[in-house]
Amino acid sequence: MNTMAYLFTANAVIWIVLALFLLRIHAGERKLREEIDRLRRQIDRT
Amino acid sequence: MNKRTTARLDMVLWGVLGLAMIAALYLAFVDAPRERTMGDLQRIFYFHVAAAITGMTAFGVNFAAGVAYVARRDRKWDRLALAAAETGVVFFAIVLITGPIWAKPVWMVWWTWSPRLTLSLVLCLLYIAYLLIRRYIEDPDRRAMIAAVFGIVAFVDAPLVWFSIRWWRDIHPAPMLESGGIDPAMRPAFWACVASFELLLVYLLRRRCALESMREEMERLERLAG
Repeated sequence: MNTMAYLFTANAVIWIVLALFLLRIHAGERKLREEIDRLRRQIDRT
Repeated sequence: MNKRTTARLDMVLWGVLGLAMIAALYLAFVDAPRERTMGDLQRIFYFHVAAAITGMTAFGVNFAAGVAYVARRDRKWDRLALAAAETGVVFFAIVLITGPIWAKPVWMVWWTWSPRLTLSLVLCLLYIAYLLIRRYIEDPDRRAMIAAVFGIVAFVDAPLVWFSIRWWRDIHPAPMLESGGIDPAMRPAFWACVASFELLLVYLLRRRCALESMREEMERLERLAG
């Protein structure tokens, strides 16, 4: 691998890791919001 | 703080963060001069070192939040401690991956068990253990207290990582910040990367704490729903 390939790989890793972490938080928020809405509806019905 | 103010604050933070990231990328890859010995490979350092400093900041936040939880027993400190540990692990994972990518063409090896590298790995593993411990304790109060104490003890490794290249012989590059060894033309790129990652840390901590608050709200509703 030449110098630029190492530089590209390192930067790709940085931004992929950060993007995955952000996506994980976003997915968690969406899932919890849906679950909270479902539970609120269930409590309102009873 | 109401929901509207929080959303507006997040929007402002997101905008400033975006601009800071663009500026950091421009300074690191376009504006900063090419290093004489390593060439463009040295540009890995801008984000590698920034990630290390930000990871250390996150572990410092975990330590402070742990101390605050032990003193006050307020769950908001436990949420912050968890968010900081998780974010710190992410930044240290970046450090531990980009370091070897730089080391291979320069040192001719991916990894060597030097004090700085070994202690950095141990630090990251300690906080992974912190996150795992949290998963196996059901009672929230007990979990928060054990995690706070574990986080406080784990942070002992942080100053060892920081000072290892000053105290022991190490293959890792010497500290540039205190010795003034960094070229003045490279300083804007370096500090822009540090500032943008620290801003990103603030953003991630806010999002991660909010996620944890939602999880607690869901658990409360589950108890109500029976």
